[in-house]
Amino acid sequence: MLGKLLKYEMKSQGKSLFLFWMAILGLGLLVRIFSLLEEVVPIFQYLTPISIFTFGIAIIFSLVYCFFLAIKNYYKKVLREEGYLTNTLPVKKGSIIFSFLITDMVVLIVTVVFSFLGWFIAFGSGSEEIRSMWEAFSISIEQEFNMSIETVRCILAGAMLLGYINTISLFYAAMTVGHSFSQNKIASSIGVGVAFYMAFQFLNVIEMIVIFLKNKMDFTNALATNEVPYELIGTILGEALIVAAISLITTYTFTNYFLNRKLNLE
Amino acid sequence: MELITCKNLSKDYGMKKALDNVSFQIPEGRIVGLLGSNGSGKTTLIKIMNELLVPTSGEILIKGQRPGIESKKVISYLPERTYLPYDKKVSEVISYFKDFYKDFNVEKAYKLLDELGIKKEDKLKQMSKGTKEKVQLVLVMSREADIYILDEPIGGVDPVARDQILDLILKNFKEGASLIISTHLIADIEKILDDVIFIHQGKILVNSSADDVRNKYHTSIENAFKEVFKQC
Repeated sequence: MLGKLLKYEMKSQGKSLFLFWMAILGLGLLVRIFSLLEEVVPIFQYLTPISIFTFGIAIIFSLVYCFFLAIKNYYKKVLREEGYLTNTLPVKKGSIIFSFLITDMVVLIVTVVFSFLGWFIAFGSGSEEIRSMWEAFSISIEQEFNMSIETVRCILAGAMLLGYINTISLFYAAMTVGHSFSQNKIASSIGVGVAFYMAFQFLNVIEMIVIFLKNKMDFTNALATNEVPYELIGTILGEALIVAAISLITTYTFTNYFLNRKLNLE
Repeated sequence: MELITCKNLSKDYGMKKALDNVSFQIPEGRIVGLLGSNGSGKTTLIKIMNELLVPTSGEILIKGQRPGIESKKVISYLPERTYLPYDKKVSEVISYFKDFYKDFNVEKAYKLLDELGIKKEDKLKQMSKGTKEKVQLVLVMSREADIYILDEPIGGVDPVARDQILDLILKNFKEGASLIISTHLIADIEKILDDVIFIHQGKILVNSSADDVRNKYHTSIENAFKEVFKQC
């Protein structure tokens, strides 16, 4: 049944974002055409920056809309009128939550892929200067972390994806718990969301203190100067990922429990 | 065999008791009228049967099991509101039901839609509220379920359409299945009922066969209902 839920949710979100994806590609093409024409027709010297700006806005807006769509769809399809359909399907509540989270992740990846495609259409592989700067940056990263740039990229992409899904899962949990109340559902959802956020931030701080103590370093000094010792960045990032994973499991568990045991659809 | 067994069921909303120690049983092959005024607890009871609400205390068993995946496989439920996604076509919601309910009969659904003059290419957002309700009813009645639960199926339609809807319901529910119809429009449905449950302020006042109620009060179900409520 998870496959069927995924099919319908991906279709729904894909339909909503299709125009954005096409707009990114279209604007990328426009940037390329304007860039080529600016050497021939002077007016394009003014139009090219505008098209680049619009292209950038389209990418940012698409990414923000992915997040908005993820929250809106869950709210509408699980906690509002359409919840009468979703919650009476003979499927596990866990599958329903999974279908949303997996779709949100896939849709974000697709949007990022379209953004890169649009970028490639607009600017190609970049100028010689940018390429050499990127190579230098890659070498320094490889030396610093003692791993290939591909590995670093994968870790960073994974961390960003985990952070994104973790935030969405927190919103799902907050809305689901908040809507189990009989009154003031929106206010309760906000309150629960803030409580979850504070709890996980607290966990992050505790984890940072433990790392500093383990390494016999002064945490209060780091707080005062707002600087983290360079040698601890890898450890802190690793621990932050663990906290994010704990947060994701916790919020998923809360959402699942409240949908199963405390659903209060009005 | 009992399809639904409800034992000492209560549901509180804060200080307000929506259901107060409700107990009853519904056997196979019966048409049951769940009758009560607005706010009497009918919808709360139905939502608990469909796992959309969780009771404060007591339990409800559907074919011996608590509401869950198994009960949803055998219950075909029509909520009292429009709940289908507006951006879909009729054919899309039919595919959706076919995918999720093994007992959904696609041919029957298209036949019923045809009888009601609804096209499969029609978009839900372009339909009137009444037509949307008809589509929902077609979806619900196209399942070969053991229990049909219809919450106010004639509440939002005009008197002419009511007969059409009742006719559709009666002709299309599976033989041997039970049908629970919740409504406050008693006169329109009383002729089809086998059993009645009168509910008021979360309490069951009468739970009996329709004939027994008529014999006891020497009048129609609607008048008996009014008489019982006068005494409250």
